[in-house]
Amino acid sequence: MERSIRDRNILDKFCEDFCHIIERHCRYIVVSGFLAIASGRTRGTEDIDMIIERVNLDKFKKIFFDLLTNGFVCMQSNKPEIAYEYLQDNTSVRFTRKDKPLPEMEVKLAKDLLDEYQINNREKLKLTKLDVWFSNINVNVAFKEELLKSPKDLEDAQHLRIVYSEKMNEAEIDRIKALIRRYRL
Amino acid sequence: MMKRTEHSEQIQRWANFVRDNPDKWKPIHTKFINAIFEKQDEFLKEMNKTKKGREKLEKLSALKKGAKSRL
Repeated sequence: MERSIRDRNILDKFCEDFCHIIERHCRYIVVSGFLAIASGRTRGTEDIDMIIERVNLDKFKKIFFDLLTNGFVCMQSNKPEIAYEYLQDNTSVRFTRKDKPLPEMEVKLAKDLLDEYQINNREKLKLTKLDVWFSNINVNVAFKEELLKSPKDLEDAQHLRIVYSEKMNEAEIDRIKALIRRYRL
Repeated sequence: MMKRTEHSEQIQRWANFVRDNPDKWKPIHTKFINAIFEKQDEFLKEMNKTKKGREKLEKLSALKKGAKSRL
């Protein structure tokens, strides 16, 4: 993917470095706020949300130690068994660069059909100039409008609808909103 | 303070700029995002120098550890 390294901001570099490690082990998606920011939204965030496919403890240990070897630390524990307990409880685990409290990568396991749908329909977004797998734009808009609904999330959705106007598929958005109501509300 | 309608218009204007200027928006945006982190970093370093600064930083960090995601 063509891009200028100079154009990468602190969040971009953190995200790409982290994602390239995860990519070696399993499928992942970056969702929600960072997708909007990487697509030009002018707002801050302290964390990037990532969903990874359901991996067992052995595989998670490999991911965990690969992250540690490459300069990341887990905020909850330096033991993968403990971090994995958080994931099994559907609680995210947070990683930062060693000695840098911000930004954070908030990682969780895919927990239901909606998360699996997002992973199966992931995409790279040329406009972001990032080599990162994002969840589908229509799914993000649906989550922000139907589940998250804070002013910040609704503004993200407004921004995404304009920036990716050619990708907007109202039938898909409505279908995802129905799944959100069924599985998450 | 900006009214919601004005804010919404501002979001629309910038989103249109991003969509219509795929090669121009990123450097402007990069400066903006980096400035946020530089400011945060500067502030946290200053707070760390103050009395109870380290304690406050630890409390801020602990706030997040068990947070459940809505996603």
